[in-house]
Amino acid sequence: MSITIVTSDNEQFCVEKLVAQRIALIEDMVENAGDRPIPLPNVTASVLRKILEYCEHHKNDPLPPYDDGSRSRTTHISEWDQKFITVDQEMLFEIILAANYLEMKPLLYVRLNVPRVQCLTACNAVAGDIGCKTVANMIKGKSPEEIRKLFNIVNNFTPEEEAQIRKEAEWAEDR
Amino acid sequence: MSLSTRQPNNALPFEVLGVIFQNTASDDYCEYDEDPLALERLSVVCRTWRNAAISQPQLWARIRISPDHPNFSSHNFWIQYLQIRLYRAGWSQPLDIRFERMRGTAATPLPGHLDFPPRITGPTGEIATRWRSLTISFGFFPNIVTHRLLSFRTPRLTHLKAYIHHMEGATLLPQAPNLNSLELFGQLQLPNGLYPSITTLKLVGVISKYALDRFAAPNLRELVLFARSSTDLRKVLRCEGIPLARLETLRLGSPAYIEDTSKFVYLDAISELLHACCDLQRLEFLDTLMAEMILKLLEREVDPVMVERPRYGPLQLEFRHIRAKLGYGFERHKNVDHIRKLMCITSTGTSWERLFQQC
Repeated sequence: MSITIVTSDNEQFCVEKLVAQRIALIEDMVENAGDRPIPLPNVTASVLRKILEYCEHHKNDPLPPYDDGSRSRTTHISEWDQKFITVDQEMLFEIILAANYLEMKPLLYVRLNVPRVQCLTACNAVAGDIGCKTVANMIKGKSPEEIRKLFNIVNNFTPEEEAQIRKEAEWAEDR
Repeated sequence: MSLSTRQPNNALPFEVLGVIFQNTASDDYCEYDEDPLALERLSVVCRTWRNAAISQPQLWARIRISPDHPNFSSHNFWIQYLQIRLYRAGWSQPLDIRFERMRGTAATPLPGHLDFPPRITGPTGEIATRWRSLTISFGFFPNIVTHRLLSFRTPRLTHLKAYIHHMEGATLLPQAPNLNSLELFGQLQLPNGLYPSITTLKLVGVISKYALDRFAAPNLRELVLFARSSTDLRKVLRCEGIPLARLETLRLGSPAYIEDTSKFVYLDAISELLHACCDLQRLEFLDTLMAEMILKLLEREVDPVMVERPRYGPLQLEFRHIRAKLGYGFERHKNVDHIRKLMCITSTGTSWERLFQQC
């Protein structure tokens, strides 16, 4: 059985239900939509294509166990996922945003009967999961200035704020 | 939602930035790689990132103290670090605290170690009520301090991993109704009492004389055991509070040193343990030695173990992520041979005998 998804740029995707069910938002919408196409006004075709590629590859994977946040997290990424997420920076952030919008992790708490609030951290850890891990790996070991340069972020602290932050961080100099 | 993401700080929601920050700040693979100042660094990138970091107390509630870290060895640094973490984690956030020594360091506690306990318990134990997970590694605190730490009420504690020696008259974990996973190392002493929430128990070391006498975990599902002697194994077998017959997972490893004088005594005790775990669904060997020993027990002609098929299907054997189903009946020999090959356990009957000879 398949369902039709329409992206923000009006492209239609015919997707196997098993694949689409990896996406919680769509799973919720399928019940109400009947045979009608499911609109995704916040996701473009190029991003959805990537998301579906991921879902297709992982469609038979067991759902990750519930994580209450107490266990340490690792930034290990499997080989396939690593290859999948090797995209330009813009696409990387598009994927993270789309995964967040599509609630790809709340899928977890629905299945595991874990209250939504309790699950937010855990869910986010799984949702944009490999995207977030990839960004984390890009950031690791870099100074604030290097991070700004990497992501084209403007340092928008005022000189007063900077002075205050420096003062607050003095303790960290004594190592 | 804007998908203009050239500048991630403008587009990513705080909770997603939080996940990125959390991933950046933690690294389980290499203890030296974990940067204790990662969150501080991230929070000075720009105003958005600072707000994202500071507004999410759960990020600061993960506290890992390693005073002999090669780049952060000042005692004062770790005290300040702990205070800032606790302050930013707020008053209600569950705390995940790890006291760690780097591998290969001396067992003597570092100077100033006594400054940490009162800060993580609070004067009357009010901070201890927020612990969600606590790790105390070998050599961080003297035994008496570890006992004192574990004498507080810990209603939110779900995971405890501690190196602890038996101490006469000590009361451990007097109120830990949510404790789910208990890992103890050393000259073991288990808490006295009923712990219905414990599903995983890991014991590594020597089991003290009365250590298991008044401990009960009726819902235990997973037992991880590195027993040093047949005596220790039999203490586990005799413990009424450990429901071996209802265990789903047993993970066995061989200790660095086996105290029995004869390998047969130890093997017999392992055999008794496996007989007692009659409904096991998963048996994992944590090293080659244990794999060899158990595979021998599975195929031996006199009193073989795991003869009956468990209620929930064939037992799954596991070694270094390789899984195989155990066969029953006449095919056992052939099946065990196949498993041995699959798991690349080729040195049958040599390495473990050598180890016993060294005992």
